[in-house]
Amino acid sequence: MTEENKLRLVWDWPLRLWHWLFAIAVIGAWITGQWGGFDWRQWHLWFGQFAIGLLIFRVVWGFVGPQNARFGQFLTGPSKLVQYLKTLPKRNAPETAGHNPLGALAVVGILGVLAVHATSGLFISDDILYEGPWFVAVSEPAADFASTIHHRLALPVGVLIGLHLAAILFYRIYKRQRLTRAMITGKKPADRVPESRAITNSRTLLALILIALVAAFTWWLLAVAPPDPPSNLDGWY
Amino acid sequence: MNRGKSFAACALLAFAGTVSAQQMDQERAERAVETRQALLQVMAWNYGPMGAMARGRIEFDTDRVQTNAERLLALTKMLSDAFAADTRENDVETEALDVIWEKTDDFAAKIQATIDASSALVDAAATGDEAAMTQAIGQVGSSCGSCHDDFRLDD
Repeated sequence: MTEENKLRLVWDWPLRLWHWLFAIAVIGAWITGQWGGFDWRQWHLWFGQFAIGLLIFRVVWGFVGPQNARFGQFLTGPSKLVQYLKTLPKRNAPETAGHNPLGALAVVGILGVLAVHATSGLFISDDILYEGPWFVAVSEPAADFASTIHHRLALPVGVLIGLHLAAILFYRIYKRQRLTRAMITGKKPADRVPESRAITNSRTLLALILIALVAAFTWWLLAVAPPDPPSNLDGWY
Repeated sequence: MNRGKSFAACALLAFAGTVSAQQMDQERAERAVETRQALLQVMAWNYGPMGAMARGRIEFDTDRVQTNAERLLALTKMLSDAFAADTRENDVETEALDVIWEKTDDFAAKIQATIDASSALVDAAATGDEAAMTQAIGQVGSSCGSCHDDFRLDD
């Protein structure tokens, strides 16, 4: 293989799998929330709760995963961000191996907003049949507050999804960077990735252990820990 | 009393009349909102246990379903009258969207769907068949949700 068509691994498989599962969870929850109505609400809850489990995994993976998955690797100060923004209009500016400083901001923004969005859903009810697992544990004003947050974040989340897709298109068309392919295969051309920024492996064993732990914890958090809803007719109001 | 004075008195009385008419109007509007909310609350009070049965959270009790379904059917028939008072112009705290009084045919159709679904639930409860009741309870919930989607503020 020549240096030009050699590929280097930058995204580990747990991160890639996480990305696409998270995309399914968010888009599924968003569509069923906006247009699914009552008949799709159970699916809306499943998508949202799945997203919560995925968010927990991503936060932990941001500390223990391979270098390009780590917050410490891609979060930069404002000066590096400004420096990067200056190169943004340049079509041939070098590609960043992992998340570029602006993309890092997008990661934090998307994770943060979706964490608030999904969590607020745990505390609300549709006043008909469905409610988040923690609805029964909170007061009515608290549930109303969570409901306000949950409904008002729907549009911003839609905008974030749109911005994310627009950014991918911008890099693909204007800068000729194939970000989607890299998020599928995990690899980028070696001429764009210095050896120090490639990862040697995906930390598979650690990932498998973590997936099991996070799945168990999420199950506990959303199905075991919440108080039981009323189980008899006394005081049903 | 000269003419000017009596004109002023009349104007004052007329003004007072308007003010009190507006206040009455406001009071009526507030009571209309309270009545609507109370009606929906009592509907939820009757629906809640049936929903819990349909979801397997409490045991099926056919007598309870029969009782609650009949009550619910009676309550759904009050919906159109309860929403007859147009409170769009009043300063009231409500989740009722203006579109209720704009797309009146659509709103009436949604109410009719809820009445029909409740009626079907009464029939299902009469059979005592759990699968039929579960299905019918879901249909009632769906008719509630479909109206909320279009006519209730999500907040």
